[in-house]
Amino acid sequence: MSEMSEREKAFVCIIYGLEKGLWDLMGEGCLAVASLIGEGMIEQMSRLAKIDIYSIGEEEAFKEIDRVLVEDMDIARSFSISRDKDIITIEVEGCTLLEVQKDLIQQGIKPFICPFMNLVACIIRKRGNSLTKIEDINVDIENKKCVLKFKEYK
Amino acid sequence: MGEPVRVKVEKALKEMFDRISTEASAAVLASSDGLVVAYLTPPDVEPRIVAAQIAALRGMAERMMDRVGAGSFNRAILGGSNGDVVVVKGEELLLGLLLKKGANLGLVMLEAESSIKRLEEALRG
Repeated sequence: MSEMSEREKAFVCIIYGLEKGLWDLMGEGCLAVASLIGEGMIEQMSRLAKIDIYSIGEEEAFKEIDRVLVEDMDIARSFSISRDKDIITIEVEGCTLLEVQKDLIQQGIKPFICPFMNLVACIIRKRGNSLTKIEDINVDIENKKCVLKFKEYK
Repeated sequence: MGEPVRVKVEKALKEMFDRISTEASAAVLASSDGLVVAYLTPPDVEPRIVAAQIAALRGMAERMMDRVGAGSFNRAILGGSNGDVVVVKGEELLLGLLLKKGANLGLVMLEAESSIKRLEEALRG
């Protein structure tokens, strides 16, 4: 990862403190706030990026996440989402938050503040078309890649 | 093709709720990561938020019980001025019940703890 700016360091400290503090308090219960965080993010995205996620289709909503977080905000190098039967897989490469997540994962903390996971969880669940649970969160520090899986109950 | 999982779980929850409808006024079934799986709630109760709160409560309770050496978390009972809230943990689901004032807590707990297994079976299809 390239050298972080002072602003990025502050951002990393805030996210790290927030995740660690909440995890100490609630453990895996933190995953319960994943989609609620996404809901808050969507509110801000509607205001700042002038998009209304709820008025468009699911596929289009995922494209908007890609456009805003990857192209406009440059949070990650790439984002993709795919479905295989009952598993929805999100792949994120080169994420800015990886540096924070690395330290958290080493302490056994699941990275529940991930803008991609938070937004996708919120979009899938708020639409209410299917039941999904967070199946797996895999962070590959070496290859700078995160794979998040949701399992859908048919 | 059989019934969708969602329908099976909703039916199982309704059957359970009918047995304790004199004692309870709402039921929310949540996954451990806070997803609302099924619910029977009055219009002023937002099941999506309640499901997340149930999962967060379980997380916090587990943390606390671990710290004080009280073993694993099985259930939580919250006493309120207008009624109690009961949360029962299954293998992968959590059942939250809002009880009416003066409800028979023992009866509700018996029903909830025996029903959670059936609800999980319904979810597994």
